[in-house]
Amino acid sequence: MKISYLNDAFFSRLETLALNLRANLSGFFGGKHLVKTYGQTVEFADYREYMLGDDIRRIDWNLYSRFEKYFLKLFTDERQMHVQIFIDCSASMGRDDPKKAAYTVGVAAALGFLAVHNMDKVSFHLMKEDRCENPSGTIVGKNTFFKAISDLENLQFCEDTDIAAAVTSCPNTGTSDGLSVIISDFFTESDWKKAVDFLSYKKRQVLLIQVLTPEELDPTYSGRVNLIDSESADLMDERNMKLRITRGMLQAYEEAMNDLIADAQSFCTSREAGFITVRTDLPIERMLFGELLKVGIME
Amino acid sequence: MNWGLQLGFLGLIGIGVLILIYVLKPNYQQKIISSTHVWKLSLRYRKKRIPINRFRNILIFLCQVLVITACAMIMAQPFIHEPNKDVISERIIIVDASASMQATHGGQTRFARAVNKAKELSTETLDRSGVVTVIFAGKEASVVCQEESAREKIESGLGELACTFGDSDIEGAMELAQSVLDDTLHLTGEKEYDTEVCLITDTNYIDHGKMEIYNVTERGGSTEGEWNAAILNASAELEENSYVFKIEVASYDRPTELKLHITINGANAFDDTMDPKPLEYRKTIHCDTDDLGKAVPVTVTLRTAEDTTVEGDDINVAAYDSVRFYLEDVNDSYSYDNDFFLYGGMRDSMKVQIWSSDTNSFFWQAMGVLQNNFRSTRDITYTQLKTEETPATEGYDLYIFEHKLPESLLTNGLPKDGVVIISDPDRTMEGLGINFGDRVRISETGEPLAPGEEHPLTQYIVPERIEISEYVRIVSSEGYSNLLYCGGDPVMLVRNEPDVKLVILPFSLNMSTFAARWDFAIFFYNLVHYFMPLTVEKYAFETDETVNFDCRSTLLTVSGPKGDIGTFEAFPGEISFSEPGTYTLSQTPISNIPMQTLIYVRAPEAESDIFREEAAIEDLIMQPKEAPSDKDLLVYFAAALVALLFLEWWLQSRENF
Repeated sequence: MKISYLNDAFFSRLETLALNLRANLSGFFGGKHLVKTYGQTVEFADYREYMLGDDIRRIDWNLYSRFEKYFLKLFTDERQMHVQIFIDCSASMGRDDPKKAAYTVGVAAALGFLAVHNMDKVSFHLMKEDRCENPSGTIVGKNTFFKAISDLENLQFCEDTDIAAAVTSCPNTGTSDGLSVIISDFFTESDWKKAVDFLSYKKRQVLLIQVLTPEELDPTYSGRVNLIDSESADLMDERNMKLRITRGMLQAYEEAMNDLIADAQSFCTSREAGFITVRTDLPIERMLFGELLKVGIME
Repeated sequence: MNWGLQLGFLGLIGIGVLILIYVLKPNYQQKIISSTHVWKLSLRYRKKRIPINRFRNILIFLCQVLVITACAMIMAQPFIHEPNKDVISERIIIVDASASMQATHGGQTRFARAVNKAKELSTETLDRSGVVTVIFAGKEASVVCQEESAREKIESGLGELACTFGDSDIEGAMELAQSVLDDTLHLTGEKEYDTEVCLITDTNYIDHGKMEIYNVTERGGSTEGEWNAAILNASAELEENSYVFKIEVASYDRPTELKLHITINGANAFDDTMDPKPLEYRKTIHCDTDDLGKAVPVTVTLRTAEDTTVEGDDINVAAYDSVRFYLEDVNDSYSYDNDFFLYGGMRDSMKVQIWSSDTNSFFWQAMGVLQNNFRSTRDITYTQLKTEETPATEGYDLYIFEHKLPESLLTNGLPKDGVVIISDPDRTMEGLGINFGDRVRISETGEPLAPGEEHPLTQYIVPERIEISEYVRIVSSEGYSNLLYCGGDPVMLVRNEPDVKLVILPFSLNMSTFAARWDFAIFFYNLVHYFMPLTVEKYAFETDETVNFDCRSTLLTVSGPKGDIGTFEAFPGEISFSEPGTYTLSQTPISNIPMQTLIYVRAPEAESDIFREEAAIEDLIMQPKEAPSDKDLLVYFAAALVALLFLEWWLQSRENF
């Protein structure tokens, strides 16, 4: 039976959440996000000295009476954000584990819903091998969003993905206009860090979400096993491993996993990117509440 | 270190199996996971632990090898042989030699089989460098050889053994065996014995304790194997002056029809001139066994003149010389009970002459009592002569002269062929050896007698009850025994010599209460027993049974089936016979007429049951065998095995979950 988290109850819970964006933006206006440039809103932002040519209607006469100098009131400006969600469509993301696949789609859909709910633009980029596919285009408004979601539910996870190549090959990455989210398990030999560098260069706010199953975090199998990688072509693929899993091996695995996550976190911190690890046995809302709040994406 | 079961080392094959298990590629389970990326990363961390893991794996393998080795060694039953004192293998063999061991089957007697078995057991023991004690359980148990290790002596001893015709002294044999077990060397422990006591017998003992029983019977059922037809007993009783014969027969282990044949010799031959032909009788008797297979004895009563079921002469038998009972056409295993003889069918005759110068009834009345008392064993006839008749001085067994001694007595002298009683003599005579004195008158009422010398003639007589008012004083009485006294003077004297058997009563029965009392009859009863005893009390005995005999003369000769056995001069005496058959006791009493008494000796009736069963036999007290001195190492190996198993488990748990 196909597992899906996308139902009416799920989305109604998400409506109460807001997506906070910290990065400077330039681009479309009309969105709900306040930016650091000054605009025509009624929300006071700051003062500056009058310069020749400024609009005298913006002179603050209270300050003049106090200081006998001319100061202008400045007001905030709002721009529309573009949330780009990159989904790793490699086999490890759910070909043999439907729950992981559904969870990945659920996380992507949740983030997308929050974006369109805040009247932001969202686009879903499917990373397959070394390219990106954007079957639904840029989504604005909930109607278009739900249509795109129904396509996402039929997403197939297979083969391998080069995250860096796929992200950098994305044609409409945009600059300084939003959040880029990469959803993957980051179990790849390829250098996905280049993708983060690329997006940072594009002055986008970057969030990496690592989706892991409980078994990936804490394997329960042991003894003599022939581990078949879901992304391997056949049984003789070099990615497959014959192991005698002992307690020592499991300890080594745990260490390796912790180091992997720590390394990713440390890298993202250095790039001012967010990195969260989510377990598929946790409810998606809890993830959104907990982890995204931690990194400041949510308020 | 020694090994009790070296085949246990076959368990070491397990090591090979273990190595094979390690060599063969282990079966890996396939597991599809999302990615092996992290596992590959983990290899870097695992490498730090590889040396420790390798060492642990080697330790586990070594533990497993040692566990298998320990198991194999445990199966091989390790022990350390501690040198200690030598254990001597000993066998005490008791051979039953009772009459039933003479039963034959296949041309061999049970006793022969028993001796062969004893030889076999001896050989077995001697081959183990042991010693053998052989005990012969015959009439009296005896040790043939004790703790003997020389084969020749044992075989020689066994070869000299002969089976008896009587009971076996099993109890005595057990006591001898116990004495061997209780000897100093056994008790002090100077030597250690591994003793086995064996009884080779034909009796089935249900409970035989610590003893080994070797039964030599060859029981084969209703048509094969050993069996026995027996005449268990026979007797003759006089009923209304005619003998009635009772015969008890039985068949052991086989129901069968037995043909009983009876031959009566000398039937009704009351004197030596008569020589009647033997009377023959035949009767077929069906003998059966009960549900348990035990013989059911059948008693047959034969009345020669009345029994229509018996083939034979229709004649009353009032006396006989001998009766032979035998089973015709019987081919049984034990033939010593197929015959039975009865003797004593002819009563001893006793002729009494009574002569008195003043005839009275005292003596003939006493004779009447004697006739009644001895009617089954003696034919007593008496002749009471008139005073004017001349009494004989020969031809009688008992002469009674009262009052005046007859002239024939004075002329011919005392009779020498019988016992003479002289009562109230008027004078002495030559040959009497006695001098009479005056007649003494005591009183009108009389004086009670006093006992004199203790003598069989006065047995059961109470002198104080007898009173005499007048008697003749005895002046001298050389060679006489004074049995009763009156007033200090002897009033009953007896002289018993080979040619003189004389009783003097120097008083008149008319002047005493003697004849009026029972003591008078008792006196004559004692006199018959004393002077004319029966040679034997009965005429049928079992082997080894004591035969008490007496004699009227000074010499008794005993002869049997194999010739003369011995001569006896002391009486009463006793003898026992170890073989069945007819034995003759011969004597020539004072009457000078030779007497022969025949008796029949048979094998014990109990031996006829050749398949008898006993509930239990007395158990012997045997010293408990010392525990083997070998030190058993099983416990230590087992402890090592447990330790190794624990170590392996610990190593496995460290490595695995």
